[in-house]
Amino acid sequence: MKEKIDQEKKETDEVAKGIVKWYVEVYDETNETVAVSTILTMVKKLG
Amino acid sequence: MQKLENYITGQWITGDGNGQLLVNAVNGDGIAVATTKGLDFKSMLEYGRSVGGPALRKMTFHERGRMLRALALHLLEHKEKFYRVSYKTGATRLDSWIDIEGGVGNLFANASLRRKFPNESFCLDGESHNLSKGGTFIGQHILVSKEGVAVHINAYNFPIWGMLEKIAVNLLAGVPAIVKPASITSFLTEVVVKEIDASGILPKGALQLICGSAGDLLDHTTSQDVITFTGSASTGLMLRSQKHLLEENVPFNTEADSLNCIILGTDVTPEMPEWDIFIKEVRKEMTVKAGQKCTAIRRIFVPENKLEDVHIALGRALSQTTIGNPENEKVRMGAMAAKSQVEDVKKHVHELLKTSKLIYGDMENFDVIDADKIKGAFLSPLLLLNENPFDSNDVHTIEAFGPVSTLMPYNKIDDAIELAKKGKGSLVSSIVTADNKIAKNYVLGASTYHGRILVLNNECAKESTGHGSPLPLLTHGGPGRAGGGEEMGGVRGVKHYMQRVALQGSPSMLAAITNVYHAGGKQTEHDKHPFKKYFEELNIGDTLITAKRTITEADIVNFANLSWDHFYAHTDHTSLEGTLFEKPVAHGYFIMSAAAGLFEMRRKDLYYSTMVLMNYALQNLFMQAAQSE
Repeated sequence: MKEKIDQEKKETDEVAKGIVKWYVEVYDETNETVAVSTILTMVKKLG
Repeated sequence: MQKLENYITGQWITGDGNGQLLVNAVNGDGIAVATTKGLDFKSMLEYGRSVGGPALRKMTFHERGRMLRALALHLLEHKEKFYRVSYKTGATRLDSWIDIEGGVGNLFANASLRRKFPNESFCLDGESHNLSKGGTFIGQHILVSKEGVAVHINAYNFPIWGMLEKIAVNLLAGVPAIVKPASITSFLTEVVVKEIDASGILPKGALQLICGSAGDLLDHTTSQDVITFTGSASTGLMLRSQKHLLEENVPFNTEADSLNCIILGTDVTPEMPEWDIFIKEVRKEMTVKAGQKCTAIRRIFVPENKLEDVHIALGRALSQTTIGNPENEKVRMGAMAAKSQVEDVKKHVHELLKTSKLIYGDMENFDVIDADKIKGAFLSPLLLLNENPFDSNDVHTIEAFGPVSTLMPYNKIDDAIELAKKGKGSLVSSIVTADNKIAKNYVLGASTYHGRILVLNNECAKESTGHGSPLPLLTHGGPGRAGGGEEMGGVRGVKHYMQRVALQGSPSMLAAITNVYHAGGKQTEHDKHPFKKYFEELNIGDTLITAKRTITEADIVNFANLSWDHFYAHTDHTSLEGTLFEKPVAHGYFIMSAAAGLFEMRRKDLYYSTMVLMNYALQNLFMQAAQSE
């Protein structure tokens, strides 16, 4: 997990959530990196 | 006569002595007295540093942004009060709209900028850099709020916008401010600061106000403070060259009035829509705020063969300018801020008339509506003509800070560039042209001497914010004569009030300090799948090492069919010689899709207990050629 970005609730009945950045590395069979990227997911908050 | 109050160390205090009488620009009636005599300026800085600064630095960018938004909404509720007082500065309703709602717009824009920053009190600046072969030593720039005070010395023309455009930025950066508006219109700034104080939205010490002389304030500034000055080039020079500021290396940003120009492209003829756009822009810049704008057009360059047509068209446009009491609906141009300013403009026009001639307007004979010309600070728009701009320096250096502009001819666009540069650096320049080549030549040729360039044509004119309007997300400032400074400009403006530090160390250490993972940093695996964790439960460095997957030729063929991406690198087995590839490679998007699948795979229970609501974005994707087995 690379970074968390807090999100404000726009409306009170909205689900509380934040954006999570995932640093992703993909390796081939020789353990060499073949792809690197950052995937962002929207994640529920406890409160 | 009532004294204006100064807001210092959390209290509203009047100064001693007789002070300076401030008068209504329209009728000469006294409004209030401005004095700061006897104030303890040193204590103001100390109060800002010890009370305002710590309170703001405790807040995150997001909290500060929401504070600015609340302040903007509060001020809008009270705007009619500001409009009423603003008439006394000579401003029309439109002039005041720029000052009041333009100023509030800056608060809103900076409030929204919070989303470009983390929910932290500090931020990263740019990407991290690997500084070692083994990847254990990296570098990353970070920005932290300065521990001092932003001291804003402002011009008289925009008593509200001038304050808000600056404090919006320093407050978002976590730095308190002391505002010193120019005395003659400080009665309007005082009304607004009283309203800000009454709202209780800003923490204590975040904003202080000086209505009158700044006394020995600057003598107590340090390198943690930031001084911004808006006004004349000569006052700017006098202030920033003070020995104390040089000795202490106090950051000083100058934004000075400049001899801004507009160019009519050689392609534009009276039949084209760009012709009217040009005439309208010049008239607007000469008459809005009675020409008292640091960005106003002072020099008008038109192709020699169009000089007479432009002269006639501008004369016709300017003749619609009704001058007088700004509260009267028929009036399009109000008064200047003070009679002394009118005299100052006339003096400069007389100097300009040594090499130019007056072709529209009269310094003495003009009508005013619903006002007394003798008592009020009125002046007619004045259009001058200088037929030999290459032979004259005065027309490029003497600024008449009022409704005054000089028309000049040029031949080729290269000449226009040279003439623009003779202003020795300007805040802004505009070119009106429908020709892409002319526009590109001008922009690339003239950019070094300008802080902002507006390219106007029929495509954008309707929605254009205009030559004279600095915008919160764009830089405002210019080289040379314009002061050499930069303010606003979105994220970059905020950095002005922060210290940039090049931080070096191990990736794990930098991740712990910055709350952002850096490649090579410590990765921690947990039994619980990260997708099952709530936002609050996730920690920097949490890692999932997925199962492996063999990519087969069938996978590649299937993906090609599914996506319709039959690019030769994925499908051609026979003629890859001479290309980058030895054999067909998997689609990069397939690799990422497969990675997403591996994230989810083998955990059936995940589908029922995931905290991930959705995939949101994919950033910074780099792919190597991954070949099939």
